[in-house]
Amino acid sequence: MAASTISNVRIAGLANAVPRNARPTDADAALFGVDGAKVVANSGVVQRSLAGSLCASDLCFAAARRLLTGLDWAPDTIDAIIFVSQTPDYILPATSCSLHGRLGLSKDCAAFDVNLGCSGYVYGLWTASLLIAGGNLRRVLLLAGDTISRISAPRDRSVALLFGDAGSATALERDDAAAPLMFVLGTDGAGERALIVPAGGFRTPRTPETAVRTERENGNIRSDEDLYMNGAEIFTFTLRELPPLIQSVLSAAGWGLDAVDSFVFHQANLFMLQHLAKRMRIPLEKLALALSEYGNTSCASIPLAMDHCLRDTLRTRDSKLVLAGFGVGFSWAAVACRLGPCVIPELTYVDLDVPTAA
Amino acid sequence: MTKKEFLTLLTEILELPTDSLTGAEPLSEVEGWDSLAVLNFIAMVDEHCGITVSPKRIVDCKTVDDLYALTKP
Repeated sequence: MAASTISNVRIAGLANAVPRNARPTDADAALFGVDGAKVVANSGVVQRSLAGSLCASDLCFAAARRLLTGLDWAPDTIDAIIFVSQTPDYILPATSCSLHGRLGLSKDCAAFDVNLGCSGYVYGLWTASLLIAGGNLRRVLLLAGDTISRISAPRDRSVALLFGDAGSATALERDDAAAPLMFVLGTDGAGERALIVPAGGFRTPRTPETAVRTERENGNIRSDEDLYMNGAEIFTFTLRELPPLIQSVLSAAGWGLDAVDSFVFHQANLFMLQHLAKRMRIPLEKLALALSEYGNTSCASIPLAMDHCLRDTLRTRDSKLVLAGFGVGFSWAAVACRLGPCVIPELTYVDLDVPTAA
Repeated sequence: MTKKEFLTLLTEILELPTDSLTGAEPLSEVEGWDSLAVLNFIAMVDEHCGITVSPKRIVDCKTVDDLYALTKP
């Protein structure tokens, strides 16, 4: 696995936003009868917030505005903005450029998108840190968000009850006194088909046929433009890769399990996280969990779980954290970091009919 | 893992009465054997045998005994 230690970068703050549209999972599980209740018990998702027609960029925009205010950072002090998402506004231009405009950032600012999901937040932190440490930038804004509910077919029980929508903003800046960030990253392209929206890109462009929802495996109904997830393949991939990933990042940091205050993993599903924690002998009280309130929010799930479970701690003191994302790709990444005290504004709720222009 | 232990764990996953499986049952006729049970089966074999079973091998299983065979190295 690729290991990378980055010094002189501080995470100054983070903020999250969700749609003001919490939906109880039971309401949708009823479609699947007894199976629906079993799926909900397995995933641990009691409710999630659904975006309706909001975009991931709208949620990230709201989070970013609140964060910049909380930090008292003037927009023209941002040297780069990165948008991590699999649900951008357009095929082109890059949504980071559009967010740059909406946030009123200076023209002396780099902007680009990163297309990653479950591992995307940690990849985003890595990229943002590198821009500061190696690129001599001072302040970078990382926006990570997704609206996976909008590509989840309501009658596909492998996805319909799991995904919520959220957007996050994280502020990083140069700080010569900051503790080093230890990253470990990996990829296995053999997992391409396990979590995929098959149509709508240029390999398989949209046609009237790709939009038609038909019955697939286990009675699930979806189209080729909907998200497909093979839960068993993802689970075995995670069992194979996550324990060595965590071991590598702990050894890079020189920490034992006891030294870590909290493990914040991508909120894949409750059953999987509990099994992995048991397997790695991580005490459950050190495992951040936000599934019951927000579901699996893709690349926003790590910052949202940090906010939900650790807000007061991270606001007031320095904590040793291990963040790890793993999934779609297959792609995975972890970071061992000392975080806090940092600025974490209250969660922002975005109305579904909010005007989305700047 | 002995076959008896295996059958006990499997009935727990499937929420079936203890001793309700013998091993010869075709999986297509086992109540509760669905995609969630597959995840639980993978977790069980991982926890008790230290083996990560490939989902493709599970799909190829016809009977409960075939599943038991996957718990052996």
